[in-house]
Amino acid sequence: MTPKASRFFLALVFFAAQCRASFAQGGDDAFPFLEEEAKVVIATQHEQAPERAPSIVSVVTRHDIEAYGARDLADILRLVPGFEFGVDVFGITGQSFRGIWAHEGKSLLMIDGIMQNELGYGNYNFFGTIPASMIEKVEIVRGPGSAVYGGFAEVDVINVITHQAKNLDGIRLSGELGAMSRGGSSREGSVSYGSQTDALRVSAHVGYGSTLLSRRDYSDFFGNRLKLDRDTAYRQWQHVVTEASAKNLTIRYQRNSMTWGGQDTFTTIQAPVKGINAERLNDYVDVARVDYKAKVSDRLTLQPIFEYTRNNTYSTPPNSIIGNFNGSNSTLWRYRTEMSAVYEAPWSAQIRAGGGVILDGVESVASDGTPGLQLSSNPADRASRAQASSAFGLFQYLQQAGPVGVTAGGRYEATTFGNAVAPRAGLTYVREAFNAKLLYGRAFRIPTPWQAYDRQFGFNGGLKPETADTIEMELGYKFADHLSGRLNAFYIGIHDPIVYQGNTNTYVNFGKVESQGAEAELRADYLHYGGFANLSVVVPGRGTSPGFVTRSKKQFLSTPPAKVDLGAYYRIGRWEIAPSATYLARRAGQSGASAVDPNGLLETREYPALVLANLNLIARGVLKDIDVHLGVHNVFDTRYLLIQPYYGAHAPMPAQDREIRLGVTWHL
Amino acid sequence: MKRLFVCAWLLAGPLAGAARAQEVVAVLGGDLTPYREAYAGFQEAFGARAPLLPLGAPIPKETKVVVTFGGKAAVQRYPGRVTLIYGIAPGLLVGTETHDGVSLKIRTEVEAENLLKGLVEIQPGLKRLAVLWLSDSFSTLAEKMVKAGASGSVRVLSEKVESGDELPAKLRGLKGKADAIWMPLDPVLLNQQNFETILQYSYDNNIPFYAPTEGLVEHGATAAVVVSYKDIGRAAAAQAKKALSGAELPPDVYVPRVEMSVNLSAAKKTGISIPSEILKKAVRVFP
Repeated sequence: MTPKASRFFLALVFFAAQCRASFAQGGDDAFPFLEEEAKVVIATQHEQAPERAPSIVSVVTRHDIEAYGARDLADILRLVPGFEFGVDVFGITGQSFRGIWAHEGKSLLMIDGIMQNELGYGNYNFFGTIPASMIEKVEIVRGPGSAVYGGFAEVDVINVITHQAKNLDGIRLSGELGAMSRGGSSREGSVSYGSQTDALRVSAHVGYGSTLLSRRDYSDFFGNRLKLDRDTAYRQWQHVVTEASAKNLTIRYQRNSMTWGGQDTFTTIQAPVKGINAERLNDYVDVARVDYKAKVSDRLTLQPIFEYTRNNTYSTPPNSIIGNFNGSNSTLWRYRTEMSAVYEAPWSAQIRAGGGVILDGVESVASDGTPGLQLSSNPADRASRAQASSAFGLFQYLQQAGPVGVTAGGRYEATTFGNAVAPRAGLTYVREAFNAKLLYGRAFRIPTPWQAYDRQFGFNGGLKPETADTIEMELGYKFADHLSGRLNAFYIGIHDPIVYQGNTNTYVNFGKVESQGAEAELRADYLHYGGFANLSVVVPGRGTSPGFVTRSKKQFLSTPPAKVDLGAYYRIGRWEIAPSATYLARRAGQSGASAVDPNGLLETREYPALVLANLNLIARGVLKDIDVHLGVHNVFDTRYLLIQPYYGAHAPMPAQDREIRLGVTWHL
Repeated sequence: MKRLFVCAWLLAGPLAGAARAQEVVAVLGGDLTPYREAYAGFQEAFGARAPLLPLGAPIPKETKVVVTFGGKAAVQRYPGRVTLIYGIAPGLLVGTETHDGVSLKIRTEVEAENLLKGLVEIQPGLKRLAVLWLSDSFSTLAEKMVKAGASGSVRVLSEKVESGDELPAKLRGLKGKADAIWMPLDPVLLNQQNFETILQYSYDNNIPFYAPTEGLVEHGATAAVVVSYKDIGRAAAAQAKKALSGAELPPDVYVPRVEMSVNLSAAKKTGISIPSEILKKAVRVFP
């Protein structure tokens, strides 16, 4: 045998010894192989799965929004742990979160990352706003967000993501008609367009909606009665939401406007004037934003942002019934510029740093033509324009080390009203099916120029930021693919909350709010069926100021001490049916005797526990590219009342009568 | 002298081979078939025995090239002086945070143009292909598929799934938008339960599911257009030889040879008729 042949023979023997009979690929090892590789990929991923995020996060998907027949953002939030609603002056419906009245600047609401809170008080008005037809998903941080977002992100952050260009890929038309108990009606229509190519991404959403808060009668605490109908309880919404992006430059413009009847005013129903039985209020927000993502290297991205916001704040027409001090000419604006940098470090860490400047302004002329603002304790120091500014810096370090993640960071903001610091720290642990989180965050809420300078309020030169400390814990477990559960516990302490003090007609820092409780969720999602169940329990801390709680301090006003949400969906062929329900335990609100008591007696009455049940049916592809849905909201026409979450002498207001709503969506 | 020369010549080959083999070592991520198949192909093409080291074992001083099969082997720490050639590591890209020296990935997936060409051969009526993926490391692949489709006859929809829980909703959203579904070898998304969910959707809606491995075709996917694990090993061997010769290596390499496998009952359930020339061409036809 030649040497060459010998070498060949040896190689052949060796090769034969290495060969084993098997499939050319896969075979019995198909899934074990995937499991092995998945472990490695997950361990090396830098992007954050929700289990690793240093926040308690809820994401409500398009499927759930459609399946359960949500009409607007309020319907969506109602099915999320911790959220409930209350009423304030002029029938404004605000949000409570974990028992805390998040109205007036404690909750940040965004559409596609753009703030929607009005700049006067930091409020947002729910029920009939932000229709579900334009929403792709809602991302909610159930906890503080000031370290990243600054002011208003004190107890929660809600980001509504509209249908994205890639998913739209054409035009989406939708229309809905609703019939409410006792003769009310609603209607809504919207058009969305989206297109994405390599070079350009464009989307636009335009819509209009009109609904009623209720058709029941409303009685205030002072013996007045008002029939809620299309002249007194209307809520009209319009939106224009646009985005264009090319070569990492994104331009967004939004104009959202809400008009509603506020006959209930602050506490007392106003009588009709010359037969006009309505106080018409409007709130709009105009925002233009430009941002650019500059990928400096594989690891470093810079993002400059420039944003201009303008809105009014509960403007009324010149012939306002209550004779609104500010007339209809108040305008507020904000210029915000920010530069942030994100660095993906090679040692499995992410470093985020940034800073910027915010300039807030207000222009106000009183209804008698005099300047509407007072700039100091001297009543003669008047002006029709005022400004406040803040400069901020933020830093966050996120380190992943195997199953453990550590986050540390914070934001410092130097403002006209004083400085505010929002540190945060988090520890996360993810191992196979189990995850745990331990989180601390401080957040703040800065007074607005409106609250500080508007002449309809007393001047308070000492108004300063309020701060909130939140401690949260989460335990999560994936029982099986598509079946998971979570348990959260929390403590929130708000120090020096900015509150309106009626007896001095002034905004002041006063008191304390403490909230503690737990939330539990179970969720299943399979191809043809699924569902969820969640439970929220909350009690006030002993340090909570009396103005927000019952005399026993065992319960917050308005918020139920326990809330249960249930939902299930079943899909067969083109049909999908989804019942859902919310149970609200017994709630408390200010009593009538307390409202009229001249000595400021704090007394409450109870409102019985109730169930709001809904049923939604969808038929997909009824005709080519056309889906139809039929929903019944509040199936049993349960008498639901929005309760004021403090002793403000505003009687509970009926809302959410039974409604049957028919909708059609056409994807072109 | 002549005898000495002959002996030296006789020994030179094996000794040279042995020396070269020490310059190249192999590490497997485990004892699973894909890794073993790839190693077999590597050995066959390399022509000399490259020692198989256990995971975590120290690398000999004379080693210049480490060849790994399997993700676990790819992410081990190797000396910066060695060239790392890694394959069968879907979803992984070894960067400088893992390996300081030169690294080269032997791609497990078929190049986008060839993949689409193969799928159209299997399903001539294919006009819209949905590509489902989860791990961010597949975003570039998805973009390449979209671009390849744009220059051909197939419109590719890149559908990122945010989590396995979102998969049912994502599939439901595809109704009326896709003629077929393909998934890359995304191990985070492609587990047994999700595979069964996709199969169920595929059969219920007459939408063929094209899998990234032949093994999944045996389990019920309609077909696969893939590269064999042995060919991955052979490609690694070719690159190892290049590395030893001092040539500059690209960051990644695709295996040019493509194999098809078909599942006849899955094709029937999804309403497609596989052309007879494909049945002849396929390396495996499952009944």
